Amino acid sequence: MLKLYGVLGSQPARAVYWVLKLANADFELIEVMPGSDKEKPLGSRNKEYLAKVPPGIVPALEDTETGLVLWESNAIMTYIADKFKMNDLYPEDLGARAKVQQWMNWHHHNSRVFTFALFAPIFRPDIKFSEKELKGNRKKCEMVANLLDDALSRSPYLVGDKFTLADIAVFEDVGECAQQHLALFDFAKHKNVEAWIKRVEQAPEFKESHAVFPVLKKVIDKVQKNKAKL
Amino acid sequence: MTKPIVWGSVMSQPTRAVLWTALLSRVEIDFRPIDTGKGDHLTPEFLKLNPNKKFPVVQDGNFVLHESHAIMKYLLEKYAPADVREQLYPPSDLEARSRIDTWLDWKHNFLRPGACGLIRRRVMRHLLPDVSKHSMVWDLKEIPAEREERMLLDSLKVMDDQIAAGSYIAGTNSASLADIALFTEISQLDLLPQDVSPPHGCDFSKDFPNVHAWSQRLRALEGYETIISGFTRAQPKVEALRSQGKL
Repeated sequence: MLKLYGVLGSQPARAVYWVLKLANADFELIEVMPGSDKEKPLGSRNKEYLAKVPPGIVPALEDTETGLVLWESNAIMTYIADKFKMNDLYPEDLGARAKVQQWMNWHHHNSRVFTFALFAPIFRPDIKFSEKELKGNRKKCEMVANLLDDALSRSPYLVGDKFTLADIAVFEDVGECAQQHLALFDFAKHKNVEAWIKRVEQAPEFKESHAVFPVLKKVIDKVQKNKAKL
Repeated sequence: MTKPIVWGSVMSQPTRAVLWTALLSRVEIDFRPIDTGKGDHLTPEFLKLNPNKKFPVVQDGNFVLHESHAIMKYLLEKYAPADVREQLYPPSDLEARSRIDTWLDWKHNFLRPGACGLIRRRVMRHLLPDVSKHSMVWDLKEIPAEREERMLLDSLKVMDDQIAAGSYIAGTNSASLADIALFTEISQLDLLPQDVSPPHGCDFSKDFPNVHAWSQRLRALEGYETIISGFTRAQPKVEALRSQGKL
């Protein structure tokens, strides 16, 4: 039995959830709140969770049969893809696999910035960003969107013409910001990214894995309304 | 057969991790140094290889790849003898490989911003000009030094506890790709004062004894001296700047 720790409002947790759905795996989602030290609902900084996942981050995956505990969404996704032999999502060909790895590593300091710039200031008040930093991060979003737009002008997906783990890893932080979801970033100037987001949304199990979007949107609308009042 | 070309700088941790992996993989490479002061990473030719303006980049025939972890896995899988692959990133053991991946990915957001952030702030910006003004200068203005210090200390604590449970970071019996990547980040702290504990120095022995012992094991690993020599050549200059109060 596989246990996924996290919440679906977390982009990396959702990426793993989506891959588990695509694998048709037997798994259980156990709610762990990122950044909280509470016991109920269990927080990622609570000592019970820290004993299992020392860096105190979500998502994490536990295989109760072998005792394996992994954290970091990319490591978990490639584990699932190899375990369930999902060769389309994580190709066995050396070059293609290396390119998927390239984008998944690139993600950490690039596409992930969308979350730090636009999502975290609303949902993670515990992370104290300075105004200077937020401004820098918003500028970096433009840079990342340009890089993605350039890459996606050459192929329909990040690695050639197949949907892979690279698209899932990068989509969760970038795609959620699109107008049709959380409306945090306007991709009108980045037509290739805009088209790629819509293409990725056609992949199997997309809807089932992203039911949280309308819930998050309501929170954002409320926060923005309150801000306007001030 | 033409040798794979590696673009990078010995002053860059990810480049050194790639060079070390290439050495252990027994693959001869054609190393092309990048000088950020001259803007080698901003030329149209380089941007064609990596529009991110970052290195290392490997060019193997027509195949081009960036991101050090991806390159390390690629070189290993394509060129290394079977026993080396089995040791560094075992094809026969998915769980071991995934534990190695967990630590490689963890590095990106915890150890690297801590260690590399501090070294950039305290040493590199006084040592290396970077005409791109897009990474080094930029991040330093926005990220508070206290956060880098906390990230480094938190990361070292997580690693110290982990190493206490086994000799190597991912629970393997010998050094893996994760140890190589993580230790390459750690060893850059050598440019800080030798007799002070982190975050202000590189003496791990008091506060992080397991990281200290692990560092000694990694320093003894084949190829380390060769790979680090280009980097430590900067040490006298750093110490001179420090004694003049310029660091």
